[in-house]
Amino acid sequence: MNEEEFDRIVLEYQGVIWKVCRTFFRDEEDIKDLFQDILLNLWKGRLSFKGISKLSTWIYRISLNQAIDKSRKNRLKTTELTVSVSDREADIQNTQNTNYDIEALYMGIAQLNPIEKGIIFLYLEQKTNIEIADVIGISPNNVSVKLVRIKEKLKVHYEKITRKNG
Amino acid sequence: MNDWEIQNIWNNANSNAENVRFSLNEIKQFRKSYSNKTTILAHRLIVYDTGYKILIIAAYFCLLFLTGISWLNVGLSAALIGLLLFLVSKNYSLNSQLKRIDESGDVFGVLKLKYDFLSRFYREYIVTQSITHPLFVLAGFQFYQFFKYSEGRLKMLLTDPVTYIFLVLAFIIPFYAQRLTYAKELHDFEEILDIGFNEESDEIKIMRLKRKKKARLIIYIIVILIGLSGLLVILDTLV
Repeated sequence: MNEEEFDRIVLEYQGVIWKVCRTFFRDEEDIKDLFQDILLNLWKGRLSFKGISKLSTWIYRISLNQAIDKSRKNRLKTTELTVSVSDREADIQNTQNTNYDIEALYMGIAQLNPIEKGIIFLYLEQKTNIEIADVIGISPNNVSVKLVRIKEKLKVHYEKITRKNG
Repeated sequence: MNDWEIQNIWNNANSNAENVRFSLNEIKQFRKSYSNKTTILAHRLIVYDTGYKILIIAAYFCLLFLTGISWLNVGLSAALIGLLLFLVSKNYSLNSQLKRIDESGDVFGVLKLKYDFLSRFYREYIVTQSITHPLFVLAGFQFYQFFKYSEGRLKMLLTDPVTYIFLVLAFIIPFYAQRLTYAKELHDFEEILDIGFNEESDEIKIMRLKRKKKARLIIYIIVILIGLSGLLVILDTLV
């Protein structure tokens, strides 16, 4: 993959990369940092891309690996975010319905384990269980079991906020 | 809240995400700025530590010529230079292991590789890195003696208990400081790998057992090295 090809791929897939960043972080600085780290890892790994897996799978893998790594390292920061997220729960009732739902969904995702975040992200990106299994590295059956639990967690969280503000 | 609603919220949240955030020119500029920045922190740490060890090797060579050739001086310097060269070679293999981690692998596989690296090789690195500090302190003591008395008084240095107190402290302080960070990182990995992924737990248990086995081996090596140093001093006293 030469430099021009790399630039074109980043241009085409930057939307996906931004979405990964926003799934894992809510702070703008963290999002930008993660975006840059992902691009750096894509650049480093461009020579190892042999085209055996799909280009999108390669990008998802590198992006999620970097996001999980940063999320782990920012653990302290994430804890602070969780606290501030709980504080914000009471404030979002005045926002419009769509924004309210979006905030509630992101707050729910913020409570998940980094691997669970990766799974739900791929699910919301409408990937099949086989594709999710390929990116995450677990069996498709395990993906469906995890998805049931993750969606349950999100629903419980959403209902908790709704009850609080209802 | 059903599956359809979750999907709908997600689509609304990301309705603008596919829009271009950076132009092609901006991406080109961005790439050029990080093209040379391809080394990761762990790699840099290993490189700096290798440089530090090479510097101490050079210091022991200088001391050998400055303080004169005696049985004890040559024996100790040769042993320490040999040990440092061994540690440099360990750093080289550590770096090779680090390069084996392919970030484009599946998420769980990459996490396991990182955990394995941390639990087996990085632990070793903390020990080899911490051993370097007492060797630096010992060289410092020897230089101090040489500049103060214009001659090497290695025997006096090795029979003084204060020397050993400083050597032990020089090892223990950095070792425990690094170990705290290391233990936290390891715990984080275990938590991520463990939660909800019971099907993999046997593999993680094997990794943990291997880690403990390696830790015991490192302790044996340290005990043997301390024993050999003591033997060297006793032999010199007898001769």
